[in-house]
Amino acid sequence: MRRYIEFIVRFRWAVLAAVLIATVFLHFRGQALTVIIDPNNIVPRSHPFVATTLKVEEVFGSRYVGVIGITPKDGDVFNPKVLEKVQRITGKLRETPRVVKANLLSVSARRAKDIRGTEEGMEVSQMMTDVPSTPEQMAALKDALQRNTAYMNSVVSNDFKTITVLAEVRDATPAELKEGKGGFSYVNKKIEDIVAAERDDSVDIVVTGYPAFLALLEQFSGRGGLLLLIAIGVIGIIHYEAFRTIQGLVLPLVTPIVAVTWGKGFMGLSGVPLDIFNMSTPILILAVGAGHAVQMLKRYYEEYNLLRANPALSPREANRMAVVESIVKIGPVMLTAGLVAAAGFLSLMIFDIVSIRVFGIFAGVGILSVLVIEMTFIPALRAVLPPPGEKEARMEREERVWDRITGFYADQILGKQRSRIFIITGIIVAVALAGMTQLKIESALKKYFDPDLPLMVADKKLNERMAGTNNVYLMIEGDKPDAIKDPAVLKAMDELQTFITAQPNIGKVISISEFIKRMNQSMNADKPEFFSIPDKQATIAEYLLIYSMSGEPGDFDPYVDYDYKMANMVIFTHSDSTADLHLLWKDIQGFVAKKFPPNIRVNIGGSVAQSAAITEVIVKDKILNVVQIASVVFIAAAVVFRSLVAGALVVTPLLLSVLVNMGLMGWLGMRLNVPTALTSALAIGIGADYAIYMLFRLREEIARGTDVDAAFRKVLKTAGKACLFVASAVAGGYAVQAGSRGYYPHTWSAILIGTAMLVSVTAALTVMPALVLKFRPKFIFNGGDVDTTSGNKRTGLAMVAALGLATVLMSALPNKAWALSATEIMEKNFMVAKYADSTSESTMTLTNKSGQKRVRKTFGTSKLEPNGIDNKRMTRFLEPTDVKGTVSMLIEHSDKDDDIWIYLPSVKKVRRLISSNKKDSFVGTDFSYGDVIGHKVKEWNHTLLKEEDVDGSSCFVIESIPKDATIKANTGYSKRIAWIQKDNFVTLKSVAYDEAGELLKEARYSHYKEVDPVKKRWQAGILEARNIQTGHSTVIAIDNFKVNIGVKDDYFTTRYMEQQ
Amino acid sequence: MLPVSHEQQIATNRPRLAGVYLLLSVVLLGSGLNCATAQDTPAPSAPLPAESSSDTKGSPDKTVQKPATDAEPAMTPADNAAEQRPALLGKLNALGLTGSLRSGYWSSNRLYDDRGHIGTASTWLKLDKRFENGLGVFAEAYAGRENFRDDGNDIARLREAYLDARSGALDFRLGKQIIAWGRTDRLNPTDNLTPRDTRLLAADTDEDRFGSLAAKASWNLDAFTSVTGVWLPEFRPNRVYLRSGFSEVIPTGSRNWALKLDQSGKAVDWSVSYYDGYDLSGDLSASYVYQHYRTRVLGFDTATTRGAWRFALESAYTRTEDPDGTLAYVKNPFVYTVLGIERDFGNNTSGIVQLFNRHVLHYQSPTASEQLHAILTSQLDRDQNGVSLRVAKKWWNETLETELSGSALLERRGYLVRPRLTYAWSDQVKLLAGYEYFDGSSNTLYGLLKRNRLLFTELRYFF
Repeated sequence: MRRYIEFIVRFRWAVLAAVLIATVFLHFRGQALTVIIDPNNIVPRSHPFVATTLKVEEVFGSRYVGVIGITPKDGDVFNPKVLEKVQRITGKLRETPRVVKANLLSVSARRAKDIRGTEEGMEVSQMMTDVPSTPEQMAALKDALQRNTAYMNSVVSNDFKTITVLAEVRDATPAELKEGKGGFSYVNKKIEDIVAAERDDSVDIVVTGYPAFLALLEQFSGRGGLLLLIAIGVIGIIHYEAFRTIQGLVLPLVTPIVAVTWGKGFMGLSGVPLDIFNMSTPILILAVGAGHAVQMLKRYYEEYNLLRANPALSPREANRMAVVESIVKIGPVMLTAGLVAAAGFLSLMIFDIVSIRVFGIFAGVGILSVLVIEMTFIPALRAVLPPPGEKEARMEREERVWDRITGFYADQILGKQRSRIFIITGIIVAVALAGMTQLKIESALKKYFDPDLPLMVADKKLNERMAGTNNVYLMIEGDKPDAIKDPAVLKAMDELQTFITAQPNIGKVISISEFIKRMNQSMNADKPEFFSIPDKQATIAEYLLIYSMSGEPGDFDPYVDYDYKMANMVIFTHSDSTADLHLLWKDIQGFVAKKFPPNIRVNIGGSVAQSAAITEVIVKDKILNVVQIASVVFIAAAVVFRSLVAGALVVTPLLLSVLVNMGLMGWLGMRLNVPTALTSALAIGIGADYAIYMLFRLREEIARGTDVDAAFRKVLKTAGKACLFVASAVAGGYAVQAGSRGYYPHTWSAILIGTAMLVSVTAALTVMPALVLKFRPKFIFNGGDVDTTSGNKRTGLAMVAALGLATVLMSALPNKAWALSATEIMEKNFMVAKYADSTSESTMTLTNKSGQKRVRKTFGTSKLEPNGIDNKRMTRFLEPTDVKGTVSMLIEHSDKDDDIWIYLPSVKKVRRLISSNKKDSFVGTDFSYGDVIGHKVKEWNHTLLKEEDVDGSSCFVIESIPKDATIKANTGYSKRIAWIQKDNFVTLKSVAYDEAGELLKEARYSHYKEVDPVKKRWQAGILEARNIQTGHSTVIAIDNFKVNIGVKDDYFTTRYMEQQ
Repeated sequence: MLPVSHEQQIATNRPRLAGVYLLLSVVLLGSGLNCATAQDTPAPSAPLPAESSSDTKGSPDKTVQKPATDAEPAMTPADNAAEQRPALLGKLNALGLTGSLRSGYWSSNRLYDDRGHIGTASTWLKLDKRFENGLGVFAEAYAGRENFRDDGNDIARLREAYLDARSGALDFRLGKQIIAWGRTDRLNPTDNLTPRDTRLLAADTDEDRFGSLAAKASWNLDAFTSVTGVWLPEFRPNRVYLRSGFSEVIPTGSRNWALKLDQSGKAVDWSVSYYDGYDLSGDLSASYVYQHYRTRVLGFDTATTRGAWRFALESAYTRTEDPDGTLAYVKNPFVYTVLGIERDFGNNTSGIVQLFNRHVLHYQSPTASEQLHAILTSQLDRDQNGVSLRVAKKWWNETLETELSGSALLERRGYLVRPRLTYAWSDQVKLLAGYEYFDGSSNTLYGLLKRNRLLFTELRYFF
């Protein structure tokens, strides 16, 4: 350590220059940072609520519902001026990017249909094609709305005072994200612009719904920059008050500011956008960085003052020596404390949620940056700066309020009333535990905001006037096409709809059953008693047929899928609380179990459900996370001090702070949700430092032979005082967030972090030393070894390890911390070819090394199973003659081996084949069965190697290694590398290595077509593969490729195979 | 001296058939040669699918690249192979007509007569036409000649000719058709409906099958389950070699029917079947007359896969006209069971081991005069146990297929070894070769077949 630091001091100018160049470079990279909320980064995809939400979005297009409410100041909505506004808004929304056209709903939307009974039967017409101009027409429109109850309270309020336009906003595509059209602010601005043109004195127009709130969230997240500046100021002021020197004001800020610049630079470098979780990260780095810098500075002053006592040394020499001595003594401690904290944050990488992973890595790397800067730049800078003047040094030594606090603590620890400390702690723990019993898990986006905010006021108004501005979706899924047309299912849906409507907070439920009832009524001369589900499926089918004659095919798209296998029940609720949702879901499940046929599955989704899923996962993972960080800290401390007792001592203040935090939340009625759960991880990460600094210094003093009382007093006065500075500064920095008006999560974290700091520093300065005195652990009292040479070997190793870890992490950051992990890219790549069904013709041209060609022609169909992952595939050979009539059928199973059958015309029977082997050639081509089916993402470990252009398209280059020997043996590949186009996730190129690790084949995929623009599905037109080892090659040309055409299940039967 | 059976009546038509055959061969071989020439010239670079150039990502011109080595021709899809064929063949194919010309050399025939060095030539034609309304026509026939050094033997047969129709959950097949049942490999206790011609010099397994006139109807209860009923108004037995002095009585009764409940497409495939009709293989009486008695067969089969393994089990109980085992020249009732285990070794290699058992009910040791009957009907012992084995591998992108199969009895000495290979020179030209080696004590079927050890090679041209 000594040699290292002497090296730094000697080459101080070079070190300064190198750090400055790196900082300037990273600063410019950090400029590219953007603030967005990509909901896909936050969602835990494996949660059933999220799976349903994604499925609903995929099948029905529903996700985030924006609501525009128009309330005339006088009279009702049946006023041409008002209706013209609705018409214009609806029309313009149809042209707005990211608004799902098919799902637009208003009185003038194309899918708003009037189903009417006439003498001939049912007549379907658009509710409002032109704005009614005569009172009669107006009255007719009113009648039509009343007749078609689905629109009452959703499109128009029950009292006809408010009329709405419902616009569903979908997630941004990667291309849109790149163009800066990813945020909700972008869409919301577009909607606001449309509405602004319609605002005048005669009406009150509000825009609310999830997109508006998410846009608001983005806005508040964007406050981070300002908060950071203020935090810097606050920390500086507290430090100035502590040290009373300009160095004390400046130096502890230099480290964290440079570290934040580095951290932001790495984020910018890796394209990670700032989001709700990453916004507070710079402040965290600032707090931690300042903490270490203060300990270092405090020790430097201490050493300098000691050295100045020797008159033989000039101030300049004393300065250099103090730099060396302070680093030698405290450097290892700082590295230990910093690595422990960094490990804690990096352990967030196990999270299911991308955003939190990014946060963990960012915070971890930021802290590692602090260590690197504090071990290079700061000593070099201090060696360059003039030594402190006499006055400056004296000011620093002066006794002030900080010393009085630490002195008070020392009196308590060393005095007779030591047991009082334990009693008070016991009481605090008991009160906290009692508070914890009150703690509830709940998240509601709208509770993040001040109710006086204009959006909140507007939302409240509209929420009261209408059915509710929050949407929940129930996905009702049958096991076969037309399952939804079954009268039993429709009746159950109808009863469920009535049941849900009767639940608290529910304003309205819309489902296909209501439309069927309406059709039945209209077919029976509009008699009220026929507002019911017909008894026969044939009748229902007939109604739908009649409807289709005058209605449009897409009218029911938001409520039922193409082949009536799945239905979507849209619930409008006044509450966006996840707790309410859980209650509702429990009731629905009970109802479904009793009333629905067993072949029907019902799942819940939508933004509130998604938020419930996020909350559930975060809170669960958070508890694990706290345990994990505590364990990491315990083990690290136990290893460093070679004592389990030391581990327990270090963990004590942390656990106390978490406990008090949770108790406080319980007592204050704060909910455990995403932002509050995150703060506990922050607190535990920062608090680890204090105990470690304290214990190291205690051991040092005791080993030096200082008497116990004096040693404790000295430790509290030096390291303890520095801890107090740090805790105050951190609490102060976070207190800044309390000033973030309108946005409660900032206030919550100000309170919770402040408390955590207070509790952990107090515990580290009182409870922990009191425990040390009571139990007198060996590692402090007997094991003290301050011989710098032997100690240095260990700490030198720690230093090298820290720098190594930092380097590795920093170099790996652009890959690892990408907003999408390699696995997620591969998942998207896997899904990009998953369309509902397809038919195609393929021509496979096989060419051997000497150029001889063979040609196979096939006709194939595929159909996606309800799980959205597995396909059924049928391939019939048309040419050449000797294989003509051969048919293969493949039923994929993501959870077990696939099933394959083959019909050979010569054998005249269907035979079941073994399917585990995916490496064999697909009908003699250079593609294996695995290549054709698609390799299961979860069976491979994926790494993003780099980014590279393929034929002018920017691609991710991803390496995939099989997870175990069986997968390697079954696929025949030891490694695959794929070039995946960034904007649409299709594979452009791939190479594969055989089991021995030799390059086996190379494939190219081109002539892609976007076969399903809604779901972003692509299919290559030409697939080429070449076996490098044999020289054999294959070109597959795909023609007549059609998707989503309603391929019948009949294709995927052995019956079909046998029909020659 | 060849025995006379009604199949051989065809011989009276010999001159006419031979003429038709020759004419066809000349025409088709001529076009085949043209085709071979067309194959030799480099295929023109077929244009890429037209719609793909406009509506694609990236640059399509760049994506179809020439491979790195210059020796390789450009990889472009020969997307219209049919167009490269001679016009006549293209037209025939368009009509649903395909076929093959075959010529081969066989070191022995399958007639126990020690004659060898046979040259064969034949034409196989297949008509397969489907119509939109679910109707379909299928027919397959062959005609050809087996030439001995001094003599010749015309062969001709309409293998199948039937009409397919479907209506909702019902499928119908009417006409001469092959019905193959069973899920184990080649040894199928439940396969008792349509016959085989064991005398035919067929290079491919199952090419010795031919159809019987039948009406078949399947009712598909759901996507996986079906009930099939078959009525065979005309009984056709297996064709076997009839030695001089032997004769055969073919029953004319139309009371042959079968039922099967089948499930396939789920995790486990299975079926239960029942056949009530004449026995395809005859019983040789003391006066050397093949008799076909009535049998009733209740069978069951199942197959499933697990990992790299496939398991199949097939078993049938056959009730004969000698239910108590008292008649000497009529088969006793028996249970025939086959258990098969297959393993996929990867690299296009697979292996199957099957154990089989024939258990004779009411067994009584046959007397000397009953021995031949017992040997031919595998009823010499109460239990006949055996094992069959097959290892197959495909090479060079499935252009070469090799197979080694064999079977052996466990209690008596008798076995068969059969290596074979198929090489696809091109999509049109295929070469087949094989060897069949039988050996065993003379009181086993394998022992009796010793004289039919043979080596063969056959060239096929498909059109």
